Amino acid sequence: MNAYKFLRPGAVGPFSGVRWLPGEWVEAEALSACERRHLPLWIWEELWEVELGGVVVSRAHKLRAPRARLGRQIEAWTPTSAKAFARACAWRAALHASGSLRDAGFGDAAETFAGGGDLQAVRRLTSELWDELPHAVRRPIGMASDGASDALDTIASDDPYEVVRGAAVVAYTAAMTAQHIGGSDAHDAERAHQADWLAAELGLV
Amino acid sequence: MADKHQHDEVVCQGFVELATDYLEGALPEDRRDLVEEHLVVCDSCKTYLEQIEATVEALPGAGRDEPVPDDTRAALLSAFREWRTER
Repeated sequence: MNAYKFLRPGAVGPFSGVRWLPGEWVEAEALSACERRHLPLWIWEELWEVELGGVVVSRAHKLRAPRARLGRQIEAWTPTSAKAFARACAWRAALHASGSLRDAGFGDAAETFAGGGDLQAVRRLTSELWDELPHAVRRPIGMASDGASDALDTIASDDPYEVVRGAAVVAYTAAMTAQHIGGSDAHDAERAHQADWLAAELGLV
Repeated sequence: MADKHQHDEVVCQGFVELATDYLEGALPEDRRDLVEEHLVVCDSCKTYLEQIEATVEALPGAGRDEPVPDDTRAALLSAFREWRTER
């Protein structure tokens, strides 16, 4: 099984604060990594392949093992690819919300939301139409607008931490927008779509 | 504008209740994973956690290095007794 680990700059564990040394086995009660499908949940600045040893247990969105060592760093994961991911997730949120706009009788705006063009337009249209929108459809449309705003901030940022945090937040927003429209299955499908996007863009096996 | 944060608030409220146990390593593994998953996307809770950590680190040192002067201690005790009486 291929396992991955997102780390802070310098291969530092985001929660443990421990610095990992590539190629060196580490032993502990429960070292964590994740499968490809759960990558969108754990985004930080660096992405590494990790080899796990001993009994590997899959728990919720993590893998646990008593032994682990870092393999190669995924060099394709950079602020640039994180920004592209944020943009893609913002458009997914807008796509999920487009049906609500169409159902409410705003067909032109729905086309813009589904179109994948200018994120500014998603934000602007939401602001322009907000008072006319039925309360029942405001939530997913507002979430899509928030996703567009967060993605635009992320894309404009020069701070690597802000970029990866923004990417994680927009991915979360897209998943929650999907969940609002289609329930937990839609949420999981959106997360799977995000994982596939990352795998394709980063060349993960 | 959007109310996506309604969901966040519920998660954040739950996080506040778990934060101390998280820092002390007292949470079961599944709860710890949920906390960490939330911290990836929530700067507010991350900041809150960092503030608790900083407070915990600072307090024992402050107690040792800066003893409370006698007059300050007396004033504090007096204020506390008055507050209890008023209640």
